[in-house]
Amino acid sequence: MDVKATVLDILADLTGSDEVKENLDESLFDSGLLDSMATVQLLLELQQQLGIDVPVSEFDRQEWETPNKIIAKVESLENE
Amino acid sequence: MNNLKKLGKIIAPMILAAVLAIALLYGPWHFPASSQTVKKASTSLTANVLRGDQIKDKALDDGYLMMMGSSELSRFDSFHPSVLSQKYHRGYKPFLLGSPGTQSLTHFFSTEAMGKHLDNKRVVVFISPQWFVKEGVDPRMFGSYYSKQQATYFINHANPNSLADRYAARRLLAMPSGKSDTDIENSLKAIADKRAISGWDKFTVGKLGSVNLRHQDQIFTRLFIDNREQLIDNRTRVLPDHYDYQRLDQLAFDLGKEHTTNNEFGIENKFYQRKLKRYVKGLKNSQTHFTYEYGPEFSDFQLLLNQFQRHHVTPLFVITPVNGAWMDYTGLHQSMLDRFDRKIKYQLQSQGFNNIVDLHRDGRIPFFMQDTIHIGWRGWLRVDRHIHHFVQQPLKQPNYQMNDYFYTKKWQKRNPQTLP
Amino acid sequence: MINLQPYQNPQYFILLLVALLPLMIGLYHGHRWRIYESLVSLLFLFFIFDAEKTGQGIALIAYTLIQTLIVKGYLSYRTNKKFHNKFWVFAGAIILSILQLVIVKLTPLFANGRDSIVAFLGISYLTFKTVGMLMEIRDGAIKEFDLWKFLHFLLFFPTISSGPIDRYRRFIKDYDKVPSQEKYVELIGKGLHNIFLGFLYKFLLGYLFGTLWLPGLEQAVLTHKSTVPWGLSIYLVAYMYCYSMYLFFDFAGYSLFAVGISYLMGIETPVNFNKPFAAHNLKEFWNRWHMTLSFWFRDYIYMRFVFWAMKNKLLKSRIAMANIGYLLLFLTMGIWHGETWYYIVYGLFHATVLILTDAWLRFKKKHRQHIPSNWFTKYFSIFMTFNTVCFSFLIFSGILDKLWFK
Repeated sequence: MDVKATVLDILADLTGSDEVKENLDESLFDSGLLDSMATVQLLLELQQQLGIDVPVSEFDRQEWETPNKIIAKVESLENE
Repeated sequence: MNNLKKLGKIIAPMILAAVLAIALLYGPWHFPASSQTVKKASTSLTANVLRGDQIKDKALDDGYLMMMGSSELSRFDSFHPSVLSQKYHRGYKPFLLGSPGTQSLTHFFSTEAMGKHLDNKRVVVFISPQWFVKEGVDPRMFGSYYSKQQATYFINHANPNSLADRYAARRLLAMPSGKSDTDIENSLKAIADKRAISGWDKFTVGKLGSVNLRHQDQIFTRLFIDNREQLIDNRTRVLPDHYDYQRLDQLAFDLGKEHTTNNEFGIENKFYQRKLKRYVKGLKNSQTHFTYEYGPEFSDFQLLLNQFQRHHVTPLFVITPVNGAWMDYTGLHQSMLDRFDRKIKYQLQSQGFNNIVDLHRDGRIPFFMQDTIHIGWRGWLRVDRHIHHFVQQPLKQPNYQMNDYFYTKKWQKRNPQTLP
Repeated sequence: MINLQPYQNPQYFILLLVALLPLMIGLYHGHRWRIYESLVSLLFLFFIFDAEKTGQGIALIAYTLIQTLIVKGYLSYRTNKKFHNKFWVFAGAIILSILQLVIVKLTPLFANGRDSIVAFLGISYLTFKTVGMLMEIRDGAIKEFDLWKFLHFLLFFPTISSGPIDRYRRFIKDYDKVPSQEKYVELIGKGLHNIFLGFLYKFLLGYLFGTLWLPGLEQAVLTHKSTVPWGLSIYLVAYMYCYSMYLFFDFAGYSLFAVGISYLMGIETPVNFNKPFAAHNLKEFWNRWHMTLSFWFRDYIYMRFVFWAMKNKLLKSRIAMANIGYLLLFLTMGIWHGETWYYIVYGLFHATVLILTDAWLRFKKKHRQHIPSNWFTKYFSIFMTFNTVCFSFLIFSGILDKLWFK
């Protein structure tokens, strides 16, 4: 399973809608789709499903703003 | 170059604004107030006028009679001194100074800033017993009439060797207002501690601050003055063409009766409807423990007296009453008011202030009061007659014997019954 | 003795601009004259904490020394491979770091309202900065310690008295570089705009609401203390709005000054307010009001707590966990404001409304088809949020304490 599909599944699950799969450049925070609670869950899911460790300190909202940005971020972390 | 242009575009308006502001506030200008402005200000009761200085100074020079008080001044019925003196030749032009919450300390700083304009003048002071609560003036109310300009004037002219000035500095420091500006705070602390004010503070408060504040007063105060001239014109309409005390007193009686129909206290209908009706039940016997006999207000008041002595002012003091029916309802004791009256009169007479109109027992005369604690109709008519007599007397060089005892805690706490 | 409290009068701004001018010329030409910058900072810090305030100055120096040792010490521990990342060492560092603040906050409670001798202007905001740093050091996000930069970050004078609260890594990124000329010109434009808007907010509107109107309203409220049940007169409503406006304009004005001056120094201090009264719900409100503080609490308390609680499967329900997180966050914030019942009730009130907001948002998501969404609901939600916030500020103002318990 590729990273993109996994991340989008997690996001769809957390936001409770498939909107995230359609518009990959929508800001998740501005639209209120992702709140702090969901963010923490995202970090935990990434850890469990993909085995990448993101401490809360490294979570910079600007770098994790849209589905596309999140995918890019996860891919870069995976390659480290 | 492109960036420099952009920078220029950003900075140019700011620099222009700054230069204009600095030139306006610190330049060698004087913006005189017109007689028209003074006339409008004389009845406006706007806090700006009280906080400012220029208009009051001009009013004094133009022969207005300063009338200092608090909320009672805003009771403009047809017998208010401003109305009567406009309709008839009563020998004086009142300039009203005071709003709800203005007490001795506010008037002290206000008159202090008038400086030499006050020399050898007559003034009228309305003393409300309600000022003399144990805690003294409410710091927040004082704050809303606090004037940096007047505080600055005080600092520039204060003498740390005078007990009065040290007391005034201490009182201002006890208010949040006195601490709102560090330079002013430090200067006040120096005065209170009998020290010299530091060179820096002298420069910022004395030089920079005072010019700036004076210009602000000259420019802005006149822009925000409530206009009550129309109201006063309207109030004169019901008055007969010629002054006749008996006739006017009957008219005051009739008008009072006409306007106090919705309550048993002789309180003006609108006031009762708006401010009391809803709360009246809770107020029964709510004032049995009230006392106006103790507290710092007595010493604050002494500051004002000291001011009059310094400038050879001849004041007339009017001690205002409380509505008798209202006193009975709320349980305010007449005996307490009597004791207050004794104490304040002792402070006045023992120092040579003998022009006193003592109305403190007149709250039961029908339609003397407009509401709970404010003079109206027949009360105003009486007050006007006293002021008329006061301004007719030839001015004598006053001779006051000031006593620093009145600044002490001992005086503030003194039981009036122990007075001679 | 010259003593200058930040942003209090026109003279302060004139002096500050004169002092900053050489620095600005340098930045414009691509140089950050660090020594000059440090000297100006030191001078203005000195002016805040000299003369009458010398006691505070000494407390600040002691505080700075202690915090430097704690941060440096904990970083050495974390970067030394010999040690494991033990929780109790981290906890110890945090406790030591907030100790002085806790003493300052508790002293008035035990000393009849007197201030502690170790108190100084801005201690809370400095503590937020160091605690944030310690957490990021624990996460391994901060790996280096430079004493000079640390001191600059901690004691950055435009924000020393009340924030905005910056983050170490963000600050250093700005401090290390010089903005391009084009970018700097833009910063000057924004900075001056902020400062002038701040004049309007703090000196005009804040003065109007806070100095001219509020005292009279307070007087009116207290006059009706015993005349109506619970003292709940109509004046209390007026007081509530007036106080809320005062709170906003006074603090937003100050924040604009702090951000504006930072920009002129080439440091992009984060903004504190983003049209808070246009928020549609309380959750959004906290993303717009005193933002650096609420983000601090969000990132360092709420998210960390939830992360930790979920990782350890403390509770099954995600909703329950979020709610406990809210209570924890706002209780902490309430206590930080001061140990009085009204600050704590203020915190609990916000936590409760946020829990309800979350419940409503979940309900709305589920029944999206049946709930109308149009211009009316939009403005109605803004109106409701505004009034909820104002009501919470009424609690915060402490007037109810005077009305009921004094």
